[in-house]
Amino acid sequence: MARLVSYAALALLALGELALLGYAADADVSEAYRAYYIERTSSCLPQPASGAFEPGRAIPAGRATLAAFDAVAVCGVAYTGADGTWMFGPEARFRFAVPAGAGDLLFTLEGRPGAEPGRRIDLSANGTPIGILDHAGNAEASHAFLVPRALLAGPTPLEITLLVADPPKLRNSVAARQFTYFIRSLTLSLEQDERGSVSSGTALSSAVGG
Amino acid sequence: MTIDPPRHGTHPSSRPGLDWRHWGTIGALALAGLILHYLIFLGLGVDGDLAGSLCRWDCLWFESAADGYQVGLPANRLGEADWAFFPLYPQLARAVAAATGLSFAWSGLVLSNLLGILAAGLSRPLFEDVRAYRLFAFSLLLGPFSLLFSLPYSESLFILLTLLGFRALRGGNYPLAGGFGALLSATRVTGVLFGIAILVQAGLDHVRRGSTIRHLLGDTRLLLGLLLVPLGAIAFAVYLRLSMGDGLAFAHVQLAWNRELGNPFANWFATLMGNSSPRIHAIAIVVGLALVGALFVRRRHAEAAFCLAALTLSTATGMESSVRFFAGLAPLGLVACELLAERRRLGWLAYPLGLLLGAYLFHGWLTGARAMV
Repeated sequence: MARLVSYAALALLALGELALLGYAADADVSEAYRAYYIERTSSCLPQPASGAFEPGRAIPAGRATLAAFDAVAVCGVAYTGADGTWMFGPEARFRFAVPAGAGDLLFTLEGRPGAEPGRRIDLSANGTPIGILDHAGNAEASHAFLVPRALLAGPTPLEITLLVADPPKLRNSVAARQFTYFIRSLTLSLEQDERGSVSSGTALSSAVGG
Repeated sequence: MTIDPPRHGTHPSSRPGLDWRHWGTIGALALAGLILHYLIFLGLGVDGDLAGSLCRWDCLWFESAADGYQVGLPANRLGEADWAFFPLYPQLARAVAAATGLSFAWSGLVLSNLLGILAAGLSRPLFEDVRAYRLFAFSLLLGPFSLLFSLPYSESLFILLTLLGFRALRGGNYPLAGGFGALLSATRVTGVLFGIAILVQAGLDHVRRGSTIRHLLGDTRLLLGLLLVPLGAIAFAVYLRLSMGDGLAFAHVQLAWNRELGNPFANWFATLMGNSSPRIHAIAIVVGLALVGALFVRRRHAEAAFCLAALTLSTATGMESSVRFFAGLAPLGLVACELLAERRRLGWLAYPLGLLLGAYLFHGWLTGARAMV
């Protein structure tokens, strides 16, 4: 009888442990957490970027101006150095609180490729493609992308996404956590200030310096 | 140095805890270790105090865990968070801080030193040869392992609990071993592997007694021991689930340190070729496996199985910190001391060499050597 009671107590302990494990493994987390840590379908771990920026003024990505860069960097950047920050992994997002009534914009990215030079990076604004960063070689260059006013959705901040072409299904993995692109600075300008009128929907990307 | 074999009872179940001379010697060794470390610290002219200088890398995460685990998405852009750090050590350090008013770094230094004294003092029954035991105690407090007993890291607690667990297993007390296993699994994730040691030891005990497999599987003391082991990890998982929503966050967050389950041999080979971590990590694994082999040869099968499982798991998830993980597996140090002590000249030479190696490693830690991380 005592033996039976011992077995029953042990069975209860085992069942209790299994139940607790089952409870612990059933995560109750935000969508961003689940995608980043559990399903690993996203390499974007969003930070509370306010989107504050000054139109037309370059935001250096180096350590000295980290606060200004952090204000627009939502995710996908890390390892900040003296003169820039790495886009780390297959995706990076930037947020800009564009003033109401703004017209066409020009997004300028200055930097150089990282682990895989020549690997294409697709850019989109609020989910719509705006260009391709096809950066051959290792030299630093400046690339400008037109953001048509039609993509600005009222009071919602503008979100610009950089995503490597053909990203792996498991976007957050050791293999995918690479130094993708070295960002020296970002600039978002009111387009007419930069070039005069440019018709939207033409060439999506153009190198404007190097 | 005189660390005498225990006088109370017969080896190996004797209790050196009552021998003041034994504990006095252990205390003197620990004090000598502290003085040596302090002299190295002074010699380097490092800014700040000793504890603050030792509290680097993961120490900051242990401190964060002691203050309460993070809730919500981490502000760290790499995704790193304190969920990876099991709670028993940081909570003990917090308790020391609360009791003494010391900072976390100083509390950790005091706690780790005390744990080192206990580990050195209580491990005597695990040794057949007193010379091997003396060398082991010296290694823990003044030699190559002494760094681990100065750092506010969980290795000090892990080593002590491992030694106590194997002491209980030697006495055939599976529930007590399971209790230490539960504490181990609340200290580091590899603590759950202590269940393997219990199972192997119980299997050997049953074979020795000539009992059947049915008797083994029906041994309620064994089953209780095995069921106790994961309780520490399960308690932590439930705490995480309640506090931040993901009970397996300690595993999920490993990716932030580029750790994910993979092929241990491929990881080891890449490190050996110099493609990822420093090569010393690959060498540490080779030495570790050789010592696992020595444990098997010496019929310390339970210790060997535990260390092999722990080395395999840590290598499968990445090679970074392999030197520290290897050093944190107490049975490997134990068998190394046995092997050295058997050869009289080598046994004596091991003391000055161990002292130098201990000083070198401590120096390496203070100067930021990556191999030590």
